[in-house]
Amino acid sequence: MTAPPGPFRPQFWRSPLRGPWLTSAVGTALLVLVAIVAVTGFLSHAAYEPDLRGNAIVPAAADLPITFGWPTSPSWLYALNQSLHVNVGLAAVPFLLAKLWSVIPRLFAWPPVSSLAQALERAGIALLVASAVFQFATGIANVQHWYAFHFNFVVAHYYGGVVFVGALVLHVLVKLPVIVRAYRRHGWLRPLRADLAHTRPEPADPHGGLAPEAPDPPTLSRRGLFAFVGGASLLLLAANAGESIGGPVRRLAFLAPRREDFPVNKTAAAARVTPAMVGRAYRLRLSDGARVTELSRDELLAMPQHTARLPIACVEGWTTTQTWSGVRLSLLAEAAGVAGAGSAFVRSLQPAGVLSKASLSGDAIAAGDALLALRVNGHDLALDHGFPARIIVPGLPGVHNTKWVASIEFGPPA
Amino acid sequence: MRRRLPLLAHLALLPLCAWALVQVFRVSSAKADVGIAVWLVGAVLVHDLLVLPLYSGLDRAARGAVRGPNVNYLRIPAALSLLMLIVFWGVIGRRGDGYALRWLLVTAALFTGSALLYRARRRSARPRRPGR
Repeated sequence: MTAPPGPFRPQFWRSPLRGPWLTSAVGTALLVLVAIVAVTGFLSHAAYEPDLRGNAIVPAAADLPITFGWPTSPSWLYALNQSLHVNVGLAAVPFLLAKLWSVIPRLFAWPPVSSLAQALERAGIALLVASAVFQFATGIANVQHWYAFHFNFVVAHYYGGVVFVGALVLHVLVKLPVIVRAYRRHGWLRPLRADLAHTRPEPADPHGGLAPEAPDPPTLSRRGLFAFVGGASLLLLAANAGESIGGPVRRLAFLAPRREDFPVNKTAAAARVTPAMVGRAYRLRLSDGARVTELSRDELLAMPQHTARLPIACVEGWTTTQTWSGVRLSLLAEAAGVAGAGSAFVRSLQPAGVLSKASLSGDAIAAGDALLALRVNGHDLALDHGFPARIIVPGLPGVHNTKWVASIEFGPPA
Repeated sequence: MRRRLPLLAHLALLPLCAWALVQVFRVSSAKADVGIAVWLVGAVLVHDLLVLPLYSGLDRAARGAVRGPNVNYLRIPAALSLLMLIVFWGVIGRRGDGYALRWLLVTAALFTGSALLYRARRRSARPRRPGR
């Protein structure tokens, strides 16, 4: 069967740089980056402790049974995790684009299906490319608060991650012999030594179909291409990473979605928390599941206060470290009659929303710096930052630091 | 064994992918299902049949306008600028507070840097290779 004209014919693809070595080299770099992104992504899922009451966003019955107690020390653990997830993800974009460019002739391979094995492989590749572009597109749109999609981001991005990792492992296993052959033939980095004058096409590979049959003269060396792709990575990193590092670097992050020192993702108005709800009538309700103890904000301020410098780290990758003071959660557990509580179910005054409630583990409650914060940087909390009282626990995802706390129900010691 | 590994890998990993796809459609509403399917399929189509041909076409046009490797002084800053625009469209295109201006300034800096590099390289090349 003759291939139809155009991209289905090998002569159509003329870049002198395409070939198994180039794809292997770009793919290896991309693999390292996406491995970091995938691992931190699944760690973030675990950090939400979906096994605790009210925490699961992906329904527990439909989830992989992988959960563990997320540590509260070091306090910057989740900040580091999400900084890596988001920033390494951005840095991987140019490598992903380069990788897809390097293999585009394979999309038009003719005949489209030549054997059962090849049909299976193409199905795997379709899943890989679809889930890869899906993960990057939804993740990037989400950190920019661009909800262009009408589905639950967390659910779709989680299962998309599972599809991506499955298809990626499959792809690496299937292509391993091709990769090994390319590196054996050309060396790990040898093709990068050639300057433009010495840049030659890779030898034609009738089976792979990546090296060109009729190459144009090169306008870029292979090391030039890597410098271009790597430079693009660094540029995207420079545009964003400041929001994850904080301090004076934050202002340099010229395209980061969160450039302010103390960002607010959800304002009181957006959460429909009104000044009346947090006025003089406000009482924090503590319970042990049966008996309720009510405390006014003045009574909370009269309890022993503890001060700690802790970061809030958003799943979106931005971090801010502030000095919080308030009542230790372990002390509140005692006040509720549950010394050494094994869990705390925290509800917000916020009337609705997935994140109007969150459970904390016994370890989180016991952490010395785990607070019901009443003040920040020496002032009462602002309404948008959770006045009259908010949770702040070291090392946890930002949204589990519930704002406008209405009630805490402590569970018995584990 | 070497020939069987890919088959075994497919048998182990394709079902995992299928499980995740089944779950995401099962736990989401019908409306969300359509959205996810559109985004999954649309992502590949938009990249492979729109974005890639588009930038390849632009690249070809640039190589037609500027012959030889000098095209890099044009296409590399242009590609970096476009990449920033696409990756950060959620803020550059949708938020007013200076994002578009900063993107333009960085774009200008990239082209300026490229032009200076071109000039410097041409100067240093001139004594040895006149009229390069």
